[in-house]
Amino acid sequence: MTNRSWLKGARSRAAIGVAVLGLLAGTTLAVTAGAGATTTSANTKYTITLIPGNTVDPFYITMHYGAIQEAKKLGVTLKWVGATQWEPSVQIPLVKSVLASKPDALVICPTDVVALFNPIDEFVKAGIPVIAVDNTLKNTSILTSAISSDNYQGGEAAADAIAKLAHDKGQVAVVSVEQGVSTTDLRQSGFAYEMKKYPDMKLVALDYDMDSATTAETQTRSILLAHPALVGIFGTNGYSVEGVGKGVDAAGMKGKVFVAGYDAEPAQVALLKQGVINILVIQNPAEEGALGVQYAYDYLIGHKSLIKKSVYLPNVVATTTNASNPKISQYFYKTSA
Amino acid sequence: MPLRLPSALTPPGTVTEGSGPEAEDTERSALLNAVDRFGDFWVLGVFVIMVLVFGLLSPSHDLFTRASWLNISQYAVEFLLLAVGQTFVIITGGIDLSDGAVLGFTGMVSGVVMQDLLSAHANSMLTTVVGFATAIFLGAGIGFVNGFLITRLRLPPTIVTLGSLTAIGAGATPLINGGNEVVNIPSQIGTIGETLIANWVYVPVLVAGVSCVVMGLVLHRTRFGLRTYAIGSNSVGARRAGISVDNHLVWVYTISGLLAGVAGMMVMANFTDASPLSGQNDELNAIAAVVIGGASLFGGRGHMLGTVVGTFIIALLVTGLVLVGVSGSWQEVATGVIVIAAVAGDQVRLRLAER
Repeated sequence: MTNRSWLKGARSRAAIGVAVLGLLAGTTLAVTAGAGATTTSANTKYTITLIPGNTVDPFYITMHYGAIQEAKKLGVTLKWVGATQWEPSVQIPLVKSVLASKPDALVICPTDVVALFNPIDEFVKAGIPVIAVDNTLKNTSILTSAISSDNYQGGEAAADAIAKLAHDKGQVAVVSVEQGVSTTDLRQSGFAYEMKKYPDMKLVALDYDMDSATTAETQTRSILLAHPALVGIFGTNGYSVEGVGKGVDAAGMKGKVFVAGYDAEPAQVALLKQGVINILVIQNPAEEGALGVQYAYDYLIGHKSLIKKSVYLPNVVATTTNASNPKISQYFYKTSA
Repeated sequence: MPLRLPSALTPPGTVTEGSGPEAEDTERSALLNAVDRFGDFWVLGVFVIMVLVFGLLSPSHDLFTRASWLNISQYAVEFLLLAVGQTFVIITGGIDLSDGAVLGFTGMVSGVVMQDLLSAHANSMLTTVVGFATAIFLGAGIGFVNGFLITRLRLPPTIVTLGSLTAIGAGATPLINGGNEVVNIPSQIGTIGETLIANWVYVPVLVAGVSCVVMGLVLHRTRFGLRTYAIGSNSVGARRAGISVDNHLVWVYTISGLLAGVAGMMVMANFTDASPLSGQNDELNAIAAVVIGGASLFGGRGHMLGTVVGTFIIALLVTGLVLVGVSGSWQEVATGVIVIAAVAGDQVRLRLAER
């Protein structure tokens, strides 16, 4: 999961929508879903369908881009089917309709680790291989492969990058989304664990912004007040780091307190270039999509030994200094595939 | 100014409570008067106690600093603007669940309008003005539609505004600009957000403050305010008294939407971008602030000053708990407890008043 925060908001709002509007008008899907589908065609016998977490998040758009490139290379047909929201109750009917279209393989970001098990199992029973990307299932036994970013390593990378800028000493803090979100929890533990390796550094505050950049900002300013010796703050997703960066800037501490964050959507990249954010840990959704398509193809042509059951892709670390370097900027998320 | 609370908490036109503390009522016991007075002041009391507790517990008393005031007041802006509109709505016995979603939506639409104007090489001053106007008119427009549906189709406010929340927050907003934050807006907007007046007041804080004062005067010193209370106390009675209840309610929801549009602009001024996530769940904080401030969800009661204090209690919880080193999750717990305590205290007070 990318933890683009609006996903969660959309999810809770959609839940209300399902409960209330569904009862009232039966127009819930029309209001909350807005499904989209595109096809990248090639003259082959294989059709692979990619179902993202949602269709609007640059993270998934970038994943789609990577999958398209790989599909062209391999000469397979790629279909992209998804909803505008991260919402299992919307994704499940889509998954079922994809089953009816009988693709040769399915690459999917399951929006719930449990709820998507049965719909995905239907594919497996029909002899269609399924590869999970980004998010996975709780029971991975039916999956041909599960590909995701290494969130724990991402947290470690953020810690190392702050330590480097702060010359290995000082106090640091974390502003995360909320407890119980697997991805951000891993980033946060990776960060905390890695910080212990620096004897002169200490994690002194951990706060949850409940997906609000405004809250992240005010928490950051409060942390700065309570801990004047602070040298760095890690915001564990895009919105958190935006609030953290703004808070450090507003408190007049830009350049003195280093800000590390996650993901590289246009807003975060802009702040990185301004130096409001100093470090961004960037996932590699394009590679997730490409590898998903490649594994599906390998399975279909019988090269099953080439497929790894579980893959954790390393992250890329961008800094204000290297943000314009094409070797780094190629990883910034795309807003169109 | 807290001394004005009592008279205004039982404003003219209130039917459920014919008497304020000033009223000479021999039937009322000394206990009841004491409870009533405590009820009027307890929110302010809670606020003062919280300030002292957080201030004294925080290392080197950071709460009593200029930096802390700047932080808290800036955080309060968007909730304050929403809560001001919500105060009117709740006093009429209604509720506006859509104001947080309207904040996000108006911000995004206005952001896209400004982005397009900038890419068409429009003057950035003009762009900013058009952007502000877009947000305000759009917010007012959505509020008008809410009010229209509630009054003309006789739908419950909960359902109408929940529908708006879903349709706008979950449906429309994520589709604008492909669900991405709008980054290309005039940088002057960010400058406005950062500008300090007399070194102590951010421009958005001033905007929110002026809105509070103006709308507070409207609520407590004009016929419009009087009618707002009258409708909330007894809408049938208000109708019989010749008040155009439906038109009045449309105005009240329009005001709420308009202020959500202003809040959208203030959030944009803070971050110099428009985010589809802005305002998410803000309606809950706004409603909580109004209720903590002494308004009754059954209508007829509430006060602008109470709303301001309620908003600052919520803002203080967020910053105060961080200052004393308590994990942020407790902030939600504390807000919930205070809301329930506020409503419970209110009920006890009403029950005593009925004796």
